[in-house]
Amino acid sequence: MSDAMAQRRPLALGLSDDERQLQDSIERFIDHEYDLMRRRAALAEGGDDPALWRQIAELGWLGACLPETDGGYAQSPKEALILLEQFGRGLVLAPVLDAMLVPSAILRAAGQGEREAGLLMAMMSGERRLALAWAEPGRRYDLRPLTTQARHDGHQWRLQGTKATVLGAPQADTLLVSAATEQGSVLMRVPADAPGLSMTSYLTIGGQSAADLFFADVRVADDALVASAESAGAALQAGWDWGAAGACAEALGAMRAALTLTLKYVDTREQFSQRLSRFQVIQHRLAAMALELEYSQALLPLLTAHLDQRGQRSSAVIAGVRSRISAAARMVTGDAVQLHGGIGVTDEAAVSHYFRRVVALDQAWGGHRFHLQRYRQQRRDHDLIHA
Amino acid sequence: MDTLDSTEMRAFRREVRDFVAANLPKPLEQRCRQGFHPSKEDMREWTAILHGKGWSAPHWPTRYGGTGWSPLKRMVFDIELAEAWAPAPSPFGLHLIGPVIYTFGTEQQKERYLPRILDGSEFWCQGYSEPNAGSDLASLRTAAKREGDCYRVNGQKIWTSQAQFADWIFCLVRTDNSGKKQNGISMLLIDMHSPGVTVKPIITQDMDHYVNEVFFEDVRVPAENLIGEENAGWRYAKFLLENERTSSAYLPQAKQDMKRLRELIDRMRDEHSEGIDDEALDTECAALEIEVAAHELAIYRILTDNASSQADTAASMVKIQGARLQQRLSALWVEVLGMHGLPLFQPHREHDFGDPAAMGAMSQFLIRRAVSIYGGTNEIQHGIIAKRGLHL
Repeated sequence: MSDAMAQRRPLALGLSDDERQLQDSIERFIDHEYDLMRRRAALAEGGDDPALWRQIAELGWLGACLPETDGGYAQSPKEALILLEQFGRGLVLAPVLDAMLVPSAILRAAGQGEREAGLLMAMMSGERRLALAWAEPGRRYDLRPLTTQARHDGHQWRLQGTKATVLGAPQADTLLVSAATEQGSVLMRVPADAPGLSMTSYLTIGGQSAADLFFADVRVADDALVASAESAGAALQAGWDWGAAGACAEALGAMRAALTLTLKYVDTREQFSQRLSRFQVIQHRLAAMALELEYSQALLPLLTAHLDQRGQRSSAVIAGVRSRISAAARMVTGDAVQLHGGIGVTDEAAVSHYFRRVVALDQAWGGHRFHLQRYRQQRRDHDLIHA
Repeated sequence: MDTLDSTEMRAFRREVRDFVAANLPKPLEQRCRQGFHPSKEDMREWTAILHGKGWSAPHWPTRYGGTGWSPLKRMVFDIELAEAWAPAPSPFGLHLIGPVIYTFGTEQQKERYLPRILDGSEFWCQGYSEPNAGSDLASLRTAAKREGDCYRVNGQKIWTSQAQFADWIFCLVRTDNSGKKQNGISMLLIDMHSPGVTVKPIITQDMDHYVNEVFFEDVRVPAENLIGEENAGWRYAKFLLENERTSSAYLPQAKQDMKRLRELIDRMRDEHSEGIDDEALDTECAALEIEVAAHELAIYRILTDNASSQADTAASMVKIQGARLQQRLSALWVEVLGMHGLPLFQPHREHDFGDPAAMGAMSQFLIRRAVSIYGGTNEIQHGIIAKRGLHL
């Protein structure tokens, strides 16, 4: 147990000066350059805003997604979580999590950081985007590939099968694909334009683009293997840890914004000749929402402490945090819709976008029940803070 | 800023742990482990031991016998004590009236009362609630009339914890009926041994005796026992509530409960009880582990001034969640016990039936229904968050 302490970073309860500066600059950017109009325009373009992606890269925020050891400038995972939290607050439609954080975490966890240094640099500069293809039809959140199969044939791999709802696939130039081999699960790097690979693209309820992928004897070279049967499971888990943690940060921002919107709304809307904010039942509900927000915020340092740490304990803690924040986000954004009344369920109302974003994060990276069971099964001790 | 993981903090934890291991009397440890409330003797004994080390009131200023530790360090201390099965000292002197006396009291009052709170030799209770002044505390009617150099006190208090063995009661009394009800209240220190004070037990649903009715019939209280100014008592009462923002959040107790729960489950599993391998029970246990961590971190955020809410709002939040945790943890505890939860145990008596690990469980579960009621109900706390935090 004594080494368990070393398995996480020290807990930092607040923000450092540098982190606060980063947060302020992202906040300013959103307040001045981003709004629901821009989000709607991106939605009309299939969920993509290439100009925004360039801007984010130029501002250096994609560099904040990679540690210094891999060419980025992140001191800790906190910078990336700050970015996602602010993007959640501003409903910013940009695939930071899916095209940048998750795939780069997988490459790093698979020990490919050095070999793929060029690719990582190109991702940071916004030139290249990756997408992780892990889900298979009908198999929910089972991370082991089954129906997508890879066969080693001479100096190449041949891929066959289907992947479901690959987030960001329509804009990705490269796909990280999990596949079953005789030796076990592996991860392959597949160019999006590889012959035999076709996709059906669509929009998700969270506003992101996605596609179902079909591999009909897709051939890639030997060196397309990113993670062998020995390392693929851990690498995929590292990517999923980032997915779950990123979902927490984005949901936190969404919760905060939804609560702010609702507080404004109940202070203007009148029924029974008084403002909604005068009713005790409304007041108590809002107080409960504020409590959920505070408790979610309090858990965030655990994510920073455990991301990129490898190992079952860290994944379990991240799952535990995800389960709690997911439940809070569903409650807060759901109640925000409720307190808005009829207007809350319309596409026009911003609050419905927050609700949909939170639900989409649950679908994509697992929600309360799923992560609670993961925490339950994987935990090695019973204290998330002290080991 | 303090950090949890510093070498210094780790060394401090070890020091506290070693001290408790060497100095906590076994019978006290045993009763605490079983989940019983500490007796008067247990509290007195343990407070005196802590006092010997200079640790009985870590939160007091050093010149009154405190330690000068940071709020985070004090919380770490409380958690270490709780996890080592040390009984919680009585809060009424150390946490409630002590700080009021050293902040607003006269020099004579400080000299008279503080040393005996510190060494555990005198016990206090709190005279706040009345039959018609519960959540609406300012409606209290117990009257104190000035007569020369005395006050004559008449009235009744209720839900007074530990009144049956307290030496003193700090009491909110009405000294003026003319204006706004908050403005006519004073705070008096009353000797519980005075003629005219009667204590009548109230037995709670766990069949134990913690709370009482206290009657005052022409009780003469020296005027020098007034705290601060006459009719300014509401201010001192509010100070008292706000002084310890996180102590009503029961974090050390929650961590102790979790440890007790795990020990119980592990022991039952070791004894090949198949009933314990129940996914639903384990899921609730897992959920509570996460909830305790959130609670712990929310409290550390307050203690290190990192909370995004204002301090008083955050204090209400952790009070609400602390009460919920107390209730959920003890509910799971009795659920794990199954049939062993049923016997009615009397604290501090020998029993020749039941599971020794389980004796305090049902009693705790039953009495903890009160945690979300006393010290400001959960509903009152929601109101505070809405008004002061959300400005509704």
